[in-house]
Amino acid sequence: MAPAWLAWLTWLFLAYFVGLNLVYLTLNLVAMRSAWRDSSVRALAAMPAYTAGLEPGVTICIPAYNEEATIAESVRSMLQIDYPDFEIVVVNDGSKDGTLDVLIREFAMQPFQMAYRRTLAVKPIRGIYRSARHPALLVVDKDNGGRSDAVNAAINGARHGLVCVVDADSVLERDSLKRVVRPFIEDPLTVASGGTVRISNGCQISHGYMQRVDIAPGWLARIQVLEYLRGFHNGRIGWAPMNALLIISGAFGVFRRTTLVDAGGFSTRTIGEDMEMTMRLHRFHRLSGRSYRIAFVPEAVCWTEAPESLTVLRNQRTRWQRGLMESLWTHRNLFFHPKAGTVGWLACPVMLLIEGLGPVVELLGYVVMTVLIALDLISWASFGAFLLLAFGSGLLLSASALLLEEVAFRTYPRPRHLAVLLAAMVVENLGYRQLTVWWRTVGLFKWLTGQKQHWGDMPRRGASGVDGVGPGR
Amino acid sequence: MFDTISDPALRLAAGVGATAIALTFAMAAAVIAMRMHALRLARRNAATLATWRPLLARAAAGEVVDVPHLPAAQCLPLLLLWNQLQESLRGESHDRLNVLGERLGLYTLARRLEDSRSLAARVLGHATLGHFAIASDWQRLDKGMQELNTPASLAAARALLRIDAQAAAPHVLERYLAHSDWPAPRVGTLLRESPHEAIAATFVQRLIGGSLYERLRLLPLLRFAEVPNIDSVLDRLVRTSREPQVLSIALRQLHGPAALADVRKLAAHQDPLVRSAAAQALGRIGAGDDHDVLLSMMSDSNWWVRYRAAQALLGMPRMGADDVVQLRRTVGDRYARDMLDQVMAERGLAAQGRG
Repeated sequence: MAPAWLAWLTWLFLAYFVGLNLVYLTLNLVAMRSAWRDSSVRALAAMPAYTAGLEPGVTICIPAYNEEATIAESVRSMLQIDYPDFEIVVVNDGSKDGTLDVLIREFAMQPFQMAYRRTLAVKPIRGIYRSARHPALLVVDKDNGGRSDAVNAAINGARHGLVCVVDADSVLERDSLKRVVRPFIEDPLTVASGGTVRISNGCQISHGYMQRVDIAPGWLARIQVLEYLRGFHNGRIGWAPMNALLIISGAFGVFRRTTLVDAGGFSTRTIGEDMEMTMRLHRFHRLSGRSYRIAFVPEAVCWTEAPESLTVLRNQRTRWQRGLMESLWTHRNLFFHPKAGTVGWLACPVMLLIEGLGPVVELLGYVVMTVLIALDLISWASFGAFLLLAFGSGLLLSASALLLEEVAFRTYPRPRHLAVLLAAMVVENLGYRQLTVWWRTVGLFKWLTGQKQHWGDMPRRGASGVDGVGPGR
Repeated sequence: MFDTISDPALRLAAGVGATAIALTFAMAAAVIAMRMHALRLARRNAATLATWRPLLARAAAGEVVDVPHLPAAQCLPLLLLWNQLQESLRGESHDRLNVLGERLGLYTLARRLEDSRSLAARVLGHATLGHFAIASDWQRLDKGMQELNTPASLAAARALLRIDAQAAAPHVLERYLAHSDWPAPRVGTLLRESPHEAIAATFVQRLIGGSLYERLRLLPLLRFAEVPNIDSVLDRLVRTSREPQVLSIALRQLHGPAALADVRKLAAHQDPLVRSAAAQALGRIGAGDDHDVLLSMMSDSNWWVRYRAAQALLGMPRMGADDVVQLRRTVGDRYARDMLDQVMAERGLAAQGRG
């Protein structure tokens, strides 16, 4: 007879997988409802735009560290964005390569006497340059202080009321900024708005523009396409209608400048500064009883390059997990706070249990079940039932995200893309999922033991990489 | 064995797993079916556009066209195309497309869409009735404007303004003030499309006599409403208002010198939003005497007040290059000097760009 702890473990695994499915299917249903309603509004895109010419000014903040290979292309692409009133502030965060030289050469940057506001404390500024060719382009050269410090330096130099934070190598679709800013026009209570991040590997990008959407030939990138669909569709579209979105991606998010300044700017002490800031905004507004909205605009798209090597992917996933836990821990007083509403009573606990601790439970499940079957403590039927449950839940979450993608967006136009994504749903469960569960557990361990996490290098092919905390499940 | 002590757990695990996989298959099948449907729909819409776009263009240009049979499946894409064209047309061309639309049954179709549960259909219906602008649709559209759905109610409001702007303006403003769902910029575009005399009287009445909420809702629309004697309205607001939000919005739009004395007083207001708006206003309407006021504002604790004051000062009519150099030399405050340097550099770059 098997010991009692085994029965407890079995129920724990069961509760985890059933809970996981229930939470994400519920979120998917909320997202589906929201996307269905919005698809009707999207159908109106062919009608004249009611907000044309009325968009508020936006400062695009681009933190750049050792980006000499891509920075000129990125800035060129940003300069051609379809938006009536914007400026670009590139912050050279003490790059060791020729990032600043490239900017000076390509955009005729000239030293500029600026009464630079030190509203947020940042590392020393070495110089400020303004383009003689593009009056809306400003470069702030400063000592290295990390991504958050660079973004804060850009916020200090921003002149517009809205700041859009993007990665130095992100590729925005031409109309993305117009779309992501829409919530600010329609609802003055909006303090932040995020867009969807999609994987650009395999896509044809030329002069900073997405020319043709495609899916990379490698399965590592293909599975990440699916992961991003799951993370953004099931997670973010689902949480947004409840005003409980816990992360606006650092790769593409717009914030009200005064709100960021009031909140003290991006934290330089966390590796997941985007999630930390989003949670801080929730805490600031909810606990002080102020009305606010954090919006998500799924059709505002930013393209980014995903890692195609296991080493880079491992670094990214451990970093994301650590960032997630840091943010949840920093804002632990939101949990079940009487004033925290859906954020404190639903989103934070779900995030902790499913995304934070979930990898440990899942890993434990794989290890324990394997050991038990090896020791002949459980039957093959039990082992099979566990695998069926684990794979079934993974497949279902992917299928629901794919369904939502098809209903609302249909970004991947060719039937071949659909076939690849359907196949990726299956392939993901054959090793990839188990690896990421392991990496995320390592990230959790690193957070618990306070080990330093370095960003690591991301080899570029000309598109971009994702910063901050990942898309989630 | 494990399964002898926890059979219920085993059964539940297998059941949930099997259900999840069955649901996955069902969803995958739905995705494939939807993709095939979408491809068919795209082909049909492309065929509709290829047939009807040149026909509508010729009809709008005044040619007599033979109208082919319109299959039911092409009605909605055609209605959308017709609306897109109507948006860019005025006068006779617009009227000709109305005639053709009526022949094709688009007016009847639009009235049917008014009762649809689909938001897109209702918006399309309202927009179409707005183009036909038939007075008998007033009640129907007025009802549509009262619904608490932003795109649909805005489309109905636009249609009402097209039918009779004079009569619709008070209703539209009433609806705007009664519910907070209409964003000011969208209402602004509606007002801009309408004859201003239809809007102005109602607008001013509510702006002056309304509550703080009403004034704050209406002020951003002022630039769209094309109110005659706008400066006298703004003067009055600057003179009589106490609320910083109202004051700053009014100051930003002020162009007449009548309120100059009040603007000077507001340059020392405790709210930096009002002070920076006052600095901007002084730059537009100020006189030589305001040089010193702006100079002292350049030492303000707020960056924006300093910036606006420096811009205003350097933009004043009698401020020549020598005066600027002299000013730079005499300014003692470091913050004021830094700001002066920035604004001078900006002007230098702008001049370089123009050159």
